[in-house]
Amino acid sequence: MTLKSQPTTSAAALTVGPTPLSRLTRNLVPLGVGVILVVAVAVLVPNFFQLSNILNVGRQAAIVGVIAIGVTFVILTAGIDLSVGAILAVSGVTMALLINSGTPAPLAILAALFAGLAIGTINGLGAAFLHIQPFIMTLATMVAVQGLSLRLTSGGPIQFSNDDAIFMVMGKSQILGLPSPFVIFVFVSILGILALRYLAFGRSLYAIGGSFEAARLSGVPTRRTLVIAYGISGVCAALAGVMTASRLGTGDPVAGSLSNLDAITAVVIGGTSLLGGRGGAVGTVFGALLLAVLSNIMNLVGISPFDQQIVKGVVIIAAVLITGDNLRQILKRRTVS
Amino acid sequence: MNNGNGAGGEEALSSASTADVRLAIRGVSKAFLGVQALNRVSFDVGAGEVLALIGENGAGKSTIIKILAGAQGPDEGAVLIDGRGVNLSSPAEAERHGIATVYQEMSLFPDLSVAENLTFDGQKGSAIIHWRQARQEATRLLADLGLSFDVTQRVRNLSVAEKQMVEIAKALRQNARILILDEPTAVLGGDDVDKLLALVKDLKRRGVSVIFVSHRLDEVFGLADKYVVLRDGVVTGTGNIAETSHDELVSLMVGRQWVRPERASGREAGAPILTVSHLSRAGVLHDISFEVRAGEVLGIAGLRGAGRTEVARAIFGADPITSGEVVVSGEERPPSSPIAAIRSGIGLVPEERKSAGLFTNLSTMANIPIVKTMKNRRAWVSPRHDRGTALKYKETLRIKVADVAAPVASLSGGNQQKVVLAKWLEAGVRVLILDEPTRGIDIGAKQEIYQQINKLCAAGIAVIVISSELPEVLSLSDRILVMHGGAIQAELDGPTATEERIMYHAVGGARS
Repeated sequence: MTLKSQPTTSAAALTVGPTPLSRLTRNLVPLGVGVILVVAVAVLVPNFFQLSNILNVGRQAAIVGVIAIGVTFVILTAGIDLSVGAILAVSGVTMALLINSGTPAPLAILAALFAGLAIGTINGLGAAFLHIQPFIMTLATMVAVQGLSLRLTSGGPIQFSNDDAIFMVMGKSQILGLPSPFVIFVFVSILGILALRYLAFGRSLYAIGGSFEAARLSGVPTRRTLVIAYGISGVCAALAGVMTASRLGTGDPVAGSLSNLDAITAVVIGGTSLLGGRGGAVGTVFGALLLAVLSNIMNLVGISPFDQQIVKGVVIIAAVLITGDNLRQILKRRTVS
Repeated sequence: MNNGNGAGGEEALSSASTADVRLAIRGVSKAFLGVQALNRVSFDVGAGEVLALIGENGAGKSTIIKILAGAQGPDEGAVLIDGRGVNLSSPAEAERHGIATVYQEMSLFPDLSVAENLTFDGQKGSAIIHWRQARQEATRLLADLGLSFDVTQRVRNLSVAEKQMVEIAKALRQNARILILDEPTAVLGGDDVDKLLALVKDLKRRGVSVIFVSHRLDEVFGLADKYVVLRDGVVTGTGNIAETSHDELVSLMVGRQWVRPERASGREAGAPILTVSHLSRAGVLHDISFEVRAGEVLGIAGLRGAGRTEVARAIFGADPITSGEVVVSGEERPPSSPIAAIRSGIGLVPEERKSAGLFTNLSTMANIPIVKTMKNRRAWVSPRHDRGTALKYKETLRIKVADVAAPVASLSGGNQQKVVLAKWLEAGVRVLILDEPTRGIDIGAKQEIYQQINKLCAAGIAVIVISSELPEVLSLSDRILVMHGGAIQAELDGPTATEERIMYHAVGGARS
């Protein structure tokens, strides 16, 4: 099924389609791979389908998923955001420090989110107005913000009391029987999907990613759109930071050091092109879930963490080959010559 | 290729016996996607001779150059050097046969030094770069051309003229005996042109054969020994420069008398809608002033590089301007940005359809409403409404698209152009600028685009059509501006203009 749907899927992946059908086909590949994986697992790893394990997968997918939804906005413009891991850490640290200095929890959370927004906006301003390549711009903020986190904490984790109800909601409790981080992930995903689909802003992201010059000549506010996209990415990363810190009761300056790569991986596995203009948040949701399922299975089967990384690397390449045009073109060239 | 060689070899005996013909092109044809770019083209270049290769845009000059440079192979025909058939299967082969090509777009590496550029592949076979040797070699190559400048400076910092000299030095590095210059003077100013022409004359004295492509006929008369005129891939004239005239060359370039198709009669222009005054952009546009009236088509003709596209982009706010004013229906507006232009009612169908006109990653229904959404500052888009809009234009413009939700990348050029047109119709415009609206699209779609232009006119919209196709400009326009060197060279009345008169002004007018 996966193989058959391949050509149509890659073509449909370019579409901002209106019909449920095109939306479905666009995500068929990650979906198909997921289904195959799940069936294989059902046979090989019976423990996987225990409720507690499924909930655990949801919880694991949530943090990376929330970041990845934000990063999707940036990647759609043909940009990249490497600073999300650093933002995750600094927002957790900011929140922990504020709580310990007696700030009410809701205010501390807002401040943490605002920090993410500010850093993201700086990324956007640099990319849009100073024409600094997004890779370099966000690499620079990543390094600087990592330093900031370490400076604020003198290098060590900051414990705080996470007994407030709002922290339970952010990280520890269950809502309707589901882990609360997963519920937040679902909520953010729905917002992301709707924004990309129904907002003129969302359309502008696809336009800029398709052709920056055409976007400008069509009257798209290119700079403003870019700044907002990076701002959203920053806020999502900060939210992930708040979720992480709430759960652990710790603001860790080195938390999320791999989150940026995991998030980009989820976006790419979800079929969003790093060249911009193609893909969307639905794919990213599947990408994040797929990553979490994969890690979970490997844990259950007892694959060592080192080997897990190797497998992840292979999966990324496989996913890109299946969702992108590369494989198809190589095969086509073969048959022609 | 091998057949070509054999046949060419025999033919060579007869032609080479007459004079010291260095390069002979015999019956060369080349088609692209069914379009005949060259049709049995033949000509000779003698040793130490300068041949001017002239023709309108798209006449086939570039194709000839690419074949000689080894970038493309001919479908049929042969190329002979010193009477022997050669197989120019790659640029390296061409170089081995002593053919050097200087393209219009420079092929230097801007961030490497002059020395590195000049010796880049001259040290093949050695893994180590011998810096001192490279500098000496580069200095010698420049000295050969009577030039002396610091070979350690980066190419980026050179003037355009200096870059071109380096380019020529690089081309001559392998002891080239045939030098092809593709519109070398198009990017140069007065003094630099003279320097370049002097250099070419010097090369000629040293026995190098030069093929010189130029749109500037006065240069051709000052420099060339012989000429070849191409039109639509066919040689329409060849001979000694001394035995021809400016007017004869122009009529050879234009060829046929254009039979004007039935034009929309009784068209009456209304009040001026767009007024452009003293528009200038340093080094690009010089004091451009004109107006366009409601229900009128203004054609802008000129050769490539004359500044036509630049005028359109300046009016639309896509490029910065140095001075000047653009007024739409009495509302003065600095052409500051495309969105400002759009809100004042100006639309632009750009020359680069795929990269600037539409979003090939998006569907027909996502493309069409985008300008309107931005113009009206809408916050929301409605896929359902977009679909309706797309289906409406699919009907009225007869866009051949199976699924309006499929990316426009899969549409043909003509249908893509209709999508671009639909973007502006949907947004609503008072002035529509179309830059090369029918380039690369089939005849059926062309006719439909023409119909739409006439319809827009009838609806009282001011239309500007920029085109390299003179018949198109002539048949559509009420008035025609001819541009040359970034300035308006002449304004002609549409119904009485001819291709000859347009070309006359496009190549620089009465200077010859």
